[in-house]
Amino acid sequence: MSVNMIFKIAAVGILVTILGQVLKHSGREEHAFLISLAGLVLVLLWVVPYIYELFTTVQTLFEL
Amino acid sequence: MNIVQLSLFAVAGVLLAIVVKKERPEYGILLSMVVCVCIFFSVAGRLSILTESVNRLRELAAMDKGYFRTILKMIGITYVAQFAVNLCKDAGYATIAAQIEMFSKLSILLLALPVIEAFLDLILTVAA
Repeated sequence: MSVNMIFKIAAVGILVTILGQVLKHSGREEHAFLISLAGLVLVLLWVVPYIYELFTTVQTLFEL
Repeated sequence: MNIVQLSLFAVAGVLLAIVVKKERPEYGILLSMVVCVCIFFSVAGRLSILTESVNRLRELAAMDKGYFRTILKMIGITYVAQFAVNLCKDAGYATIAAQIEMFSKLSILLLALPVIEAFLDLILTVAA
């Protein structure tokens, strides 16, 4: 679970960059921005529950 | 997950973050966040073993449970605060990091107050 999460995020990052460049050069500036936003939201959807799980584990572990 | 796997994992994460950070800095920070979380989860199992054994030692020494719990809380607060502080510093927002650090120190001080009071009472009873 842990390692391929890293590769997924890196893959989304690289993909968004490439798509952004392609769209920029083909003149569609706003599409490039939307693509990067969509990529960011997607990665956030993966990361936020992960962080939430971390904080709940810390709370139970350290009895905060 | 022993230390070799852990460090390989961290170095792989850092290299990927560098590649992604050049074009899209926000992915670099997200990547480092995920690496930190993965490392914590791989270590969390051992932490619970640690707390159990320290608890057993505490029972042997018949020490009060409250003190041990405050120590554990302090460690927890420090860990969470340092996690957030270093992430903010990585992202370049040192002011926010300083705020979090300040608040974490205050909350640890708040935790320590009852212990200090108990200590002072002990001294007063002995001295007076």
